[in-house]
Amino acid sequence: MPYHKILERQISKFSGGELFQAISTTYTHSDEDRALLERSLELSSKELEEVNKQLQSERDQIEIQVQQRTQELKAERNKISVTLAGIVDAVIVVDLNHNIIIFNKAAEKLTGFQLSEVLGKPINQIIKIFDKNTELPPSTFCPVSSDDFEGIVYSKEDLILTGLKGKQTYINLLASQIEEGRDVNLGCILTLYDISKEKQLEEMRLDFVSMAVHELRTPLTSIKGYLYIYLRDYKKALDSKQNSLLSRINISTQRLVSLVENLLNVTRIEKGTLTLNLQPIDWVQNINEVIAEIIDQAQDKNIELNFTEPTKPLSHILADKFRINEVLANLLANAVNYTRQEGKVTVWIEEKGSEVITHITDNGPGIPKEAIPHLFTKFFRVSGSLEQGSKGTGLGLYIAKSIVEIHKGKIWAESEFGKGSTFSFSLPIV
Amino acid sequence: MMQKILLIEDDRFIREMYQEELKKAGFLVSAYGSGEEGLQALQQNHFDLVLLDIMLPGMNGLEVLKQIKLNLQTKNLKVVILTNLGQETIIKEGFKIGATGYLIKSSYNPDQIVQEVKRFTQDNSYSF
Ligand SMILES: Nc1ncnc2c1ncn2[C@@H]1O[C@H](COP(=O)(O)OP(=O)(O)O)[C@@H](O)[C@H]1O
Ligand SMILES: [Mg+2]
Repeated sequence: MPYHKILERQISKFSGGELFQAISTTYTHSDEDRALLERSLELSSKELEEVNKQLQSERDQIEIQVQQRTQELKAERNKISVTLAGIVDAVIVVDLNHNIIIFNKAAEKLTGFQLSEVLGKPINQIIKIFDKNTELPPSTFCPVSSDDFEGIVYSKEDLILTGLKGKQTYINLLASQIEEGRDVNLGCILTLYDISKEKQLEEMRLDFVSMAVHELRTPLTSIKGYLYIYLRDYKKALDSKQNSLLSRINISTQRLVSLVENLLNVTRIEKGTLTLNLQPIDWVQNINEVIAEIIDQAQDKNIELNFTEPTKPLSHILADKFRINEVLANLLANAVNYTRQEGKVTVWIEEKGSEVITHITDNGPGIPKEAIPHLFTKFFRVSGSLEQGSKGTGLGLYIAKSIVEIHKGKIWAESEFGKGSTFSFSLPIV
Repeated sequence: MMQKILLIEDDRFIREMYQEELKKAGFLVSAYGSGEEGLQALQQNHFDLVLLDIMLPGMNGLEVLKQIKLNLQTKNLKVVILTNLGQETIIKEGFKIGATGYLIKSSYNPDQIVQEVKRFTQDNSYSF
């Protein structure tokens, strides 16, 4: 029996008042409501249970997914860090403020710093990068930009990196960015490739060539000197047969000397040790001296070799006599070599503005248009030249260009295929 | 009076070639193949000019030059370095120690060598 009924009965035992009546009816109403409520509650709790169950299962699923994703992320991260640790190139990543956020094993080895020492530090406190002697600011070698460009933003070979205690290493450097850099605070990814081994090998090769060539030079100096003395003192007493034999020995010696000097020059250019001893130079006399060295070769081919001396005295030029003579010698040798028998080679000078320009014109085979832009590159030879029976290394014009350029001059070629060529170079007037 | 030249050059052919040519041009030439011998000759005789090869067996040319410049009796002696083209650093070093000039063996013919030696012996204020 419900409590209120008992209560009602008990109270009515005391008195049968109206209040009790009212209370009693209210209770009866409420009773029905309650039943209703109870029933609906019973119902909704079932629904709730359903919902709850569903929710639970969804949560479980999400949980599993999250676990899976976390696992995947972890694997991804492990994959990246293992990859980063494994690659031989140093990888350094900085955030948008140039502070280091990734520094792999190879970067530790290259710079001498430990990961823990560099994390969060500005990159320019850890490494410095030099191009020859100029230091590059991080904004150059490790640019951080606000656009959403993705790809390589800077790339340069042959740089010097200084790390812990000034430790220096030759490197090639590559800087790249990713599109989402701004969103994930990733400024720039640096890849540094250690080239010191290559450098060392290259240096050894150059040293070897240079040593071998120096050794060749001593006997050559002797041959040249004694031949010079012999020809000077006995040429007149020799018959034409003897003279022609000696002339060939002389020409071959001259060729050998040029070969040896060219090899040495190339090693100097590569090593960056081609230096100048600039002095005022009597340019006309100089040209005459070089012509005297090659005149035998020209005469041997019946080539008419002329020098049109300027009518007015030339302005002063500064040059390294021996080096600039190598330019003249190479251009003259080419003109004589590549021009057929009975051809003609002319040297002429022109003063133009603040430059003295020297031209070597021949009426040889000329050079095809498409070959002209490549003439001054190392080892380049026009194909077909071999058919003319001439041998060469393709170094002469490359050397000539290097020497002219460190004199702050220019060198160029003009040619009409089949008609002839003119090689010219300028030297600044002081 | 005949000028006296001390020639220190290890390659016999080059040494004898220069010696012969300089003699023909009127110089008195004493020639040696090593720095040690050259320095010894300097102790005993007076010379007007030293032609000094750099690549020498044993004591190298720059050391010989140092010895000459350290010795009070020979420190004012003109020393001309004999080198090959492309040894700029050695030439620079030589000038620092006190060389008067240099001759590039591989780039001069014998007549030019004689001509240059004449310039060095005549000109007291020769400078680069
Ligand atoms: N005066 C010239 N006439 C025609 N061709 C030339 C002339 N000078 C140079 N060349 C071409 O340019 C090439 C490169 O010349 P160079 O660098 O001196 O090398 P090399 O003479 O050893 O071949 C030559 O092989 C030749 O084909
Ligand atoms: Mg050539």
